[in-house]
Amino acid sequence: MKRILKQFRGQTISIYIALIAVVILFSALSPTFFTASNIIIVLRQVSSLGIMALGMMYVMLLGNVDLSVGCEVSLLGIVMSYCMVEWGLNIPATIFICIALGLVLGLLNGFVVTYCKIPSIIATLGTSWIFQGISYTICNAQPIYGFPEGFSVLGQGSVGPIPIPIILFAFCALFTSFVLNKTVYGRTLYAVGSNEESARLSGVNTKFIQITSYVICSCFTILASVILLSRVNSGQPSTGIGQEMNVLTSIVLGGICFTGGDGQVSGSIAGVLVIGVLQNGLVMLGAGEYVQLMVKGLILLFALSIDSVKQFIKSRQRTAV
Amino acid sequence: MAERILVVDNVTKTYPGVKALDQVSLAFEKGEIHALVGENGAGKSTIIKTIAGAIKPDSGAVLFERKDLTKMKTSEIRGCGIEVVYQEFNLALQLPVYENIFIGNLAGKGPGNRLADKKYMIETTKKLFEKLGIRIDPESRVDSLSVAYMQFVEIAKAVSRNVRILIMDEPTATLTNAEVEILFKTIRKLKEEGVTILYVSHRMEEIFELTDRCSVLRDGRYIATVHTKDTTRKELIRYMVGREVSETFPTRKSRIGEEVLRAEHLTGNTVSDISFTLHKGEILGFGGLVGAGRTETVEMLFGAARVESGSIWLHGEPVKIPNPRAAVQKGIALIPEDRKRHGLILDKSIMENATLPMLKRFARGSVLNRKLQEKATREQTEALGIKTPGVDQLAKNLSGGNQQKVVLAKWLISSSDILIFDEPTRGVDVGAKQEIYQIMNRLVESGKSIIMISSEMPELLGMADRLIVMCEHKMSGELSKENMDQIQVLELASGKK
Ligand SMILES: Nc1ncnc2c1ncn2[C@@H]1O[C@H](COP(=O)(O)OP(=O)(O)OP(=O)(O)O)[C@@H](O)[C@H]1O
Ligand SMILES: [Mg+2]
Repeated sequence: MKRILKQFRGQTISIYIALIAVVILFSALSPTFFTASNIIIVLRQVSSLGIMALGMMYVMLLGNVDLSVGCEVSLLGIVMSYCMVEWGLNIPATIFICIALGLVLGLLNGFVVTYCKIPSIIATLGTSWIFQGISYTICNAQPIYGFPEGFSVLGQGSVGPIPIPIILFAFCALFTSFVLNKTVYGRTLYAVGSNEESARLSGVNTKFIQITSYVICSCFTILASVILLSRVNSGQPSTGIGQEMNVLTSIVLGGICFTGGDGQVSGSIAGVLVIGVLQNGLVMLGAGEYVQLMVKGLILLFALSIDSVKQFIKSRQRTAV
Repeated sequence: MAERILVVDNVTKTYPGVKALDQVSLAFEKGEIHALVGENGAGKSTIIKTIAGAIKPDSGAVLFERKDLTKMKTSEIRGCGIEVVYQEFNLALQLPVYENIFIGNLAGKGPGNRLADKKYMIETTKKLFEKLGIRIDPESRVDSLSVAYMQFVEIAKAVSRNVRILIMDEPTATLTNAEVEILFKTIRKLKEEGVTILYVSHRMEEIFELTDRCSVLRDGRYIATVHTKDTTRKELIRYMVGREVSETFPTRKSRIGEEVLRAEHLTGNTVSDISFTLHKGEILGFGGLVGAGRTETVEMLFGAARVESGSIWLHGEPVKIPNPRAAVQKGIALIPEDRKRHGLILDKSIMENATLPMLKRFARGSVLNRKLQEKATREQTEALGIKTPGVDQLAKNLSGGNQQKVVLAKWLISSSDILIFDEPTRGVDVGAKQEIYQIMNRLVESGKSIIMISSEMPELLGMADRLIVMCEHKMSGELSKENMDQIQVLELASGKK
C-alpha cells in the first residue's frame, strides 16, 4: 500500500477520481454503459487518441509541445490514400511511404524547435498550417476512397474479441512506460525536462534528446494515422484537425507537467480514458457535439483546479516538511 | 615545484558592456586546495564556467595536461575528471536523488547498456552518502529535501565520479557549521588522493582554514597569487578591494524607542510558540542553525505563510496579515534569503526589479515616469556598489552577489518601517558587507526597525541590539546586548541549554 501511495506522491490523483466519477455517473444514467461490449467500443474509440497522447508525452516531458500532430494525421492519411488510389500502390509500399514521410515531418518539427530556436508552440503551429495546406492541395479538398481489400483490417479487425487498435494502444502504452522508466534514454529525457541547464552541463546532448523526442512523437502519430485511415476507410483532409487539442487535453488532465520533467504514463492513459468515456457517455445520453465540447472544457478546468487548490492549501500551511 | 595540472592561459571574456575576464592567467598544482577570491562580479564564476566548458572565452586557452579544454565538448571535459559545484543549484528537482547523482551519466545494463540500472545506482548512491557521512534517502525526490541537503546532493554528484579537479563555487553558503565540517573533511580526503580543488568563497575564515594558495581577481583582472599561510586577512582584502577596508562593525547612534511589533506565542508554518518584541530604532537578531525555523517564522510575519495560533501586534494593535500585500501596506518588508526563487524576476532589468514594490511612487496618474525610476535605481545601485553597465541590465546577467544587492535595493527604495533581512550578506563580498551594515545603521538611526536573520556569528554579535535564538523550530532563548557572546549563542542554537 505504501509503495502504491509513494507512486502517486507528487502526481495528480484527481484524474483517477475524475475517471471513476464519470464512469459511475454514466453507469447510473445509462444501463448499457457499463457493459463489456460498450467498454470495448470506448477503448477502440480512444485508441488512436491514446497513441497520439503517448507520443506527445515524450515532447511534453521536455517542456515542449507539438501542435502539428492533428494536421500530420491528416497529411499522412491523404498521402496514403493518394498512393493507394491514384498510384495503385499495394498496402506495404503505402505504409512504407507513410513511415518515411512521418519521420521526415518529425525531424522537421524537431529541427525547427531545436536549431531555429523557435518556441515549440509557435514552431509547431507553423508546421501544422503547412501540413494542412499540403493535404488540401494534394486532394483538392475532396475525399479520396476506394482502398484495396484488406486495408480496413488494421482499424476494424480484431484478434478474438479484442479489436486490433486496442492491442496496438496497449502495446504502445507498455512500450512508453518501459522506455520512460527503465531506459537510460527515458530517464535522461526526464532529466533534461526537469533541468535542461543541469543536464547540459553534465554533458548530456540535449539537442539530440529534443530532436529525437519529436521523431518518436511522429512515430506514434504515424501509427495513429494508419489506424484512423483504415477505420474511416477514406482519406479526408479534415480527419485530424483539432485532434491535437484532444491530445493536449487528455495528457494535461493526466498530470503531465506543462513545463516538463514530471508525469507518468498511467496518468496520460487515465486522461485519455476520461475523454473517451465522456464522449461515449454523452452520445449515449443523446447529448450533441456542442454539449460534449462544453463538458470537456469544464472537466479540464475542474480537474486542474483541484490540483491548484490542493497546492494552494499546502503552500499556505507547509506543515509537513 | 609541484606539477601544474591546470593552466588558464590569457583568457578574455566579454559580455555586452562588461569585460568579465581580461587576459587572466592562472595555474593550479596537483593536489592543492586553491582559493579564488574577489569582489562580487570580479569574474570568479566566469573563470569556473570557462574551465568547465559551460561558456566559451573570446580568446585564450585552458590547458589540462596540455589538452585545450576550450576546444572540447562539455561531455569530454567531464570525461577528463573535471567536476563543478555551481553557485546556483543545478539539480533536476522532480527527479529522485540517485538520478541526479548520475545525471548525464546514468548507469546502464542490458543490451548496449540501454537500460537504466536503478538498483546499482541506488546502491552506489547509498555507499557514497555513507562515505560522506550524510543521511539522505537516495530514492526521495530532490524537491522534498532541505536546501542544505540539496547542496550535499550537488557535492556528492561532483565527487561520485573519478574526479581529478573539483571546483566549488561558494558551496557553504547554505550549510550549517557541522555540515561545513563534513564538507571540509571530504575536501581534505580528496586532496590526499591527489585531487586538485578550486574553492570560491566570500568567507575569509574558510579560506584561511582550508586552502593552500589563494588567487585574487578584481574587475575581471588577475591581481595576485599568494600562499595562504604567508598572508593576512588584511592583505587579502586589500588585494580584493584595492584599498583598505575596515572589518570592525560600524557604530551607530540610534535611540531605541517604543515597541512597534510584538509576536505572542506565534505558531504555524512548522514553528511553534515564538514570542518577541521589536522596538523603534532597534536591530533584533535571529540566531540559530540553518534550518532552525527562522525563515519560517518571519514568513508568518510577512503574510507569506498562515498563522495557526498566536497573535501579531503592530504599534500596540492586534493585526492580521493574510498575505504579503497586506504586509507591504502595513510597512513591513521582507528581504528573502533565496534570491532566485523569491527575490528577483530574473528576466527583468535591475530597474524593473528594484522599483516593483513601489511602482505607484514613480507614476503620474497611472503612467510610469521612467526618469524617476531610473534616478531612484541609480542612487541605490551606486550606494550598494552594484557592478553593472547600466540599470537596464537583466537581473540574470548579474553575478550572484550583485543579484543579492538588487534584492536589497528593491526594499530600500520602498521605504518600509519594519525591515526583515533574511541572511542579508550571504554571498556578498567584504566591501559590500560593510556597505550593508552601514545602510542598516542608517535605517535604524532614522527610526526604522530591523529584524536580521543571520547564520554568521560575528555579524549577529556585532550588529544586533538583542538576539532571539532558535533551535529545532522553537525559540530557545533571548539574549540582551550585555550577555551576548559566542558560547551562549552556540549553546542555545544547538539546544544544549
Ligand atoms: N550572461 C551574462 N551577460 C552579461 N554579463 C554577465 C553575464 N554573466 C556574467 N556577467 C558579468 O560578468 C561579471 C563577472 O561575473 P561573475 O559571475 O564571474 O562574478 P563573480 O566573481 O562570480 O561574483 P560573485 O561573487 O558575486 O558570485 C559581472 O560583472 C557580471 O555582471
Ligand atoms: Mg559567482
